[in-house]
Amino acid sequence: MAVSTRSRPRRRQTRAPSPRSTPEQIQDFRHNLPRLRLISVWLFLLVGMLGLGARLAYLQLFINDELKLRAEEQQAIQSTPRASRRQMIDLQGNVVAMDRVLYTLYVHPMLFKKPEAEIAEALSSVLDLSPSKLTQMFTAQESGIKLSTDISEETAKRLRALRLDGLDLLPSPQRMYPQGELFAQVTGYVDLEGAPGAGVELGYESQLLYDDPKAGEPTPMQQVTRDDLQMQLTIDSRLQRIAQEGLAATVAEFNAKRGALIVMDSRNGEIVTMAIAPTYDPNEYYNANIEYFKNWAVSDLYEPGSTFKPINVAIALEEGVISATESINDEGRIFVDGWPIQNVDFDTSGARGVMSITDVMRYSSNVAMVRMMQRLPRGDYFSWLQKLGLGDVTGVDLPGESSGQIKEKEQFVGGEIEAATTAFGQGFSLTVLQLAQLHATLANGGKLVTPHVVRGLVNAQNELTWKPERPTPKQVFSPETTRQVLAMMKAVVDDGTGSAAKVEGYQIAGKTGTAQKVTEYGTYGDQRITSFVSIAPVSDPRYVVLAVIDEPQGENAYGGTVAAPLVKKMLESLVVLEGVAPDGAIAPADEKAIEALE
Amino acid sequence: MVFATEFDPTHQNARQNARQNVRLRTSPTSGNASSSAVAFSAAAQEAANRVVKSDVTSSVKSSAKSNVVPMQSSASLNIGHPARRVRLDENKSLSLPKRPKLPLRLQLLTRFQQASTVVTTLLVTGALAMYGSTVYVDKSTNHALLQLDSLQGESQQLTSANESIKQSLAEQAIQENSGLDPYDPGDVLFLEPEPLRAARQPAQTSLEMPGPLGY
Repeated sequence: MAVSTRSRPRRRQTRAPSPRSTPEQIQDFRHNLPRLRLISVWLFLLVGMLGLGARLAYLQLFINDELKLRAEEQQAIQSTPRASRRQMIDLQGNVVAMDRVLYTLYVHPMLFKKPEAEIAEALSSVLDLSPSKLTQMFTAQESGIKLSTDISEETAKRLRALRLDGLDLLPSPQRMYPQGELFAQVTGYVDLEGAPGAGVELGYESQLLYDDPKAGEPTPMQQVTRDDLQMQLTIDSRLQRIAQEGLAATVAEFNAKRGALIVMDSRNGEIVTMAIAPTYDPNEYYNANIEYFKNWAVSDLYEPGSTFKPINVAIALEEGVISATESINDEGRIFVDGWPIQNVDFDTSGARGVMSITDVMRYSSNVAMVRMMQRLPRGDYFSWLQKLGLGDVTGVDLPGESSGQIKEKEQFVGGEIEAATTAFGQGFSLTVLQLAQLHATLANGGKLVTPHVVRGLVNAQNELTWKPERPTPKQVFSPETTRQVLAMMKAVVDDGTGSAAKVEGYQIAGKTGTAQKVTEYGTYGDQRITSFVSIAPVSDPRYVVLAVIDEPQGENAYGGTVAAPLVKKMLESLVVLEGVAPDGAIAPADEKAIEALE
Repeated sequence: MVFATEFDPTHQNARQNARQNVRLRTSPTSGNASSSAVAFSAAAQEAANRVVKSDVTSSVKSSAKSNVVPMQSSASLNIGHPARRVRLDENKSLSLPKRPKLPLRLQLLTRFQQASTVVTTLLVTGALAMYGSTVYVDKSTNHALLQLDSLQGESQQLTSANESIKQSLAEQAIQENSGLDPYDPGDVLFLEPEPLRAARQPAQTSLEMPGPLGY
C-alpha cells in the first residue's frame, strides 16, 4: 500500500498523506485542499478581526480616560487668558462696561516663507517697531516670539492683510469702560487677569460670566459675545454725569476729603445716581489709589447728625408721643446725665422757647429733639431703631457693605444720654446709603425698600430675563406719618436751613445735617461731615437725593451751605430729565410773563 | 392539449446545405477556395446536427463561439428554427429543464445573502449620505461661525466707537465755552395732556337729497 502511494506522482501536496492512505483517501485529501486554503484565509481574517477587537477593547476600556483627556486637549479652543464677561448697560442702554478683543502677536521664524528682512519691513509698517529691531527679535527663538501685545482689532486686520506665514494673532478679551471714571464706583473694575476688583463686577460675577461652553458646542473664536444678554444697571448715565461733575466741583471747592451724591427712586429702591468723589478710572485701575476702590457710601460709617431728625420725628409721630400740631419747649441748652446738649446757634440765639415741631425741623433744634424723644420709652425707641434696620446692612447689591453700629440695648436703655444723642443723629453710625434708604421710607409712604443698582439681565428685545431676588419691602411708617414729616421737611427748604436747595416751581422737602466727626482718639474734633437730604416732589414724593460731603474746609461749611446747593443742582436736572411736572407755586417772574402774555 | 415546438433536424439539414453552398459560392473571399467549399458544408452540417442535439443554452454558446471564427459562424448562425406545432401524447408530459432543487440550508443561505445585499446597499448608501452630511454640516457651521465671529467683532468695534464718541461729546459739553447749559426747570415747558374729549357726534345731515343732481 505504502509503496503504491509513494509511486503516485505528487504535485502540489506540501505534506505527504499518511503512509497508510488508500488512493481514494488521497483523492479525498486533494479535494479537501481548497478547504484548507479557505480555512487558512478564514483563520487569517479571524485573527485579524480578533486583533482589531482586542485593540479596540484596549483603546476603549483601558486607556480610555487618557485618550479622552488628550482629545479634549486637542478639541479645546485656544483658551483665552481670561473669561469674557457680559456687557453692562445703563438705564438708557448705553454700554458702561464691555469686553473687547485685543490681540497678542507671536511670530514663528521657522515658518517664514519669505526672507526675514522682508517680513520685518512689512511688520514695521503696521507695528510701531523698527525693521532692525524686528530682525533682531527674530533671532531670539525659532518660534513663539511675542512681538506685541494689546493689538487692536484694526491693527490685527492690517496684520492679517499682509498674508505672511509664521505670524500668530491670539485674541484675548479686555474689559473696557467707555465712560472712564463715571461708573467706577458702581461697576468696579476687572484686573488684567480677569478677576473682578469691586462693585457689580464682583457682586454679580456669576451673572456676568458667560456659561462655560458645553463640550462640542461651537464657540466663536473671540468669545466676547456669546449671547445677547446684558446686565442692566438702574443708573441713568445722564444724571450720573451731572452728579459726578457737580460733586467733584463741590469737593474741590471746599477742599473736602470726599463726597457722595445719591439719587434713589423711593418706590422700588433703584439707585438712579451714585456719584462718589474722589474716584478712579477702571480702565487704568493699576494707576489708581487703592483707597478709592471701595465705595465709601456703602463701606464707611458715619454719624448722620441732623439728617436723622426727620426719622426720629416719624418715630415719635408713629408712636403717638407727639402730634403734628404740638409745641415743644426749646431751652437752648440742657444737661443729660451730666452731659451738656445745646443747639448749634445757642451762643448767638440762646433759647428759642416754645416752638412747633415744624420749627424744630426748620431750625434743627437739638434740645427740642431730645425733649421730644424723651417722651418715648427708651426700650421702645431702641426697638424702633432695630426695626429700621440700624446696626444692620441695607442689603444693597454692592460688595463690601458695612453694617451700621448702634449701642447695645443695655447701654441704650440704661442711661439717658444714648437716647438723647440719637435724637439728633449722633452716637450711632450708618452708611450714606442706609440714610438714603431711611429717607426713602418717608418718600414712599413708609416702606423700607432694598436699595439696588442692578435691574437684571436683559436680552436684545430689552426684556428682563433674570432679576435679582429682593425681600418684599417692609412697612415701617404709616403713610399719614410720612406725609406729616414731609410737610415739615418742606418748611426746611422753603424758609429754613435748607433754603439753598429751593427749586423754583417745585415743592421740595429737605433736611440739612452737620455732624462733628469723631477723631482717631475717640473724641469729637473740629472736622465735620455735612449732608443734605431732599425728597422731591412733595406732592407726589418719589426721589430721594442725598449729598454727603466729608470734611469740607472753611468757616461756613455746613449742610445748608455745602451740600444743599449741590442737591439743588441735582434736583434741577432730575426734574427735567425725569419729566417731573412743577407742583409748587409759580415763580413771580413767571407770573409776570404769564400776565404779559394775557 | 399540450403543444410544443419541435425541431426537424433532417429537413433542416437539406435546406441548410443548399443555402450554405450558395453562400460559399457567392462569397468573394472564398473565390479561390471553392474546392474546399464542399468539405466546409459537410462540416457545417455535422455541426448543425450537434447543435440540434444539445440544449438551447449550449446552442447559444456554440453560436457565440463560432462567431469568433468567421467561416464557422456563417454556418452555425444560419440555422433556422422552423418551428412546428406538434401534438403530444396526453400522458407524456414535457418538462422544461428544472433548476436543481437546492437543499434547504443553501436556500436559506441564498435568501440571507439576498437580504444582506439589500441591507448592505442601504447601509452603505446611508453611511455615505451621513458622511456627506456631516462634512457638509461641519463646513457650513464653520462658515457660519466665522461669519458670526466677524460680525461680533464689528459690532463690538461699533459699540466701543459709539460709546467713545458719546464720552468725548460729554467731555466737550462740560467745557466752559461749549455753549451748552445745564438743565434748568425754568427752560422746560411741561404740557399737561388734555383730558380726552368725547368723540364728536357727526352733524346730522338730512338724507333727503335736494333734488336730482346732475354732473
